[in-house]
Amino acid sequence: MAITAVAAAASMGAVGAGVVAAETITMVGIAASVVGTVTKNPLLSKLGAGASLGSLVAGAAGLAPAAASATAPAATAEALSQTPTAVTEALAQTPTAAPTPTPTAAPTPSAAPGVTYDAKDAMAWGPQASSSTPIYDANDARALAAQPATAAQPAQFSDARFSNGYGPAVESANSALPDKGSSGFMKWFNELDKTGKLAVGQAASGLISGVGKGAFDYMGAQEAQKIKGQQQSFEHANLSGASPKVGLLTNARTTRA
Amino acid sequence: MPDSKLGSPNPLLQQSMDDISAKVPPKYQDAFKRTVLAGMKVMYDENTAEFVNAQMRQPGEPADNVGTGVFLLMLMLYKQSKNTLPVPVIAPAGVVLVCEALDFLEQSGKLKADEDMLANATQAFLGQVCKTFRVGVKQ
Repeated sequence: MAITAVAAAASMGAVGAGVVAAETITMVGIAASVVGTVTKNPLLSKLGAGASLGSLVAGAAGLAPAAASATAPAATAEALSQTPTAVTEALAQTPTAAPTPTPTAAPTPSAAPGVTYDAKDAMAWGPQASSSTPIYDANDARALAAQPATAAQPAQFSDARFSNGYGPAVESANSALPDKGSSGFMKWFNELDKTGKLAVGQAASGLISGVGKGAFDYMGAQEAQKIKGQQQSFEHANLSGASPKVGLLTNARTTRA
Repeated sequence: MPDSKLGSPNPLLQQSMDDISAKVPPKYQDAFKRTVLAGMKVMYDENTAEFVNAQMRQPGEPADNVGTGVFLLMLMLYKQSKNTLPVPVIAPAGVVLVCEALDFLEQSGKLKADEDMLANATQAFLGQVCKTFRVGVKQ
């Protein structure tokens, strides 16, 4: 039984998509094999050794009830590719409104007391600094993701400046994020204050500085340098033992006591 | 993990994080580390840390909640990164974050991160990744 990326590559339809999909499978195998070995879990161990990933898909917990019927134990990439509508619909949960997202004005730095990192840095390369690196608020995120996953991709995703080469399959999967009734994730996100949302934007924007070569090229050198500095500050805070996890654990233990 | 100082006192979790980090190919190491750090930033920043607790309040098995929560976190980061987060790093970075979340919850006294818990949470997470990104098997 050979692991392939037939559906992923076929649905991506982009040059190099097969390679990307194969690498994704390899990485899934790495993660599965490590945990399988550590936990002596037979399924994960077999996955790492090249067995069917379909069993993982079949066992995936409940974001997509409709997709579950398409993921019997023998579920294959071909099976998924033959039922993309069911999968997509289940993931997207039929969003209706698709307003045009617009970057929102970011909060003023002074509105972020107690933040353990420098919000001013983030604001410097935020929406006011350049329209190429907007920070979307919850409504924007919902609007972005509420757009139906069709061949006509949202302008943001079809913009070559931010293209990652993974194609519409990944982007349609991306659109599955919002409004999942089975999860408190969006509720959590929507209830964040502006400082919290800024923190999420900061975290992901740190990714842009590290991995988004397309976005990186597009950004001005000054903005890129600020992002790099912000990310390094966060890494330093963690590596030096000043991780916010420590405070959170202290609070959690106190609460428990 | 990007650095052993970020690890867990739980040997199962620590070994998993170390082994995954060591096996990520060099060309993805930087993206992997940044993804883990970005996830940890959301999980542990005082302004967003309620994420873990909110996810754990969902009905269902704790392992599924952890796996699903980390999966949604990865999707959020993917979206917020303007889709520049390399898809291949989602699986290893996400499993490390699963370990991180389990460690946090265990140290908070909310669950026991034993072999079954780790395996089930990992399965839940990887299952969502494979399903959403249409990674499968040709038989």
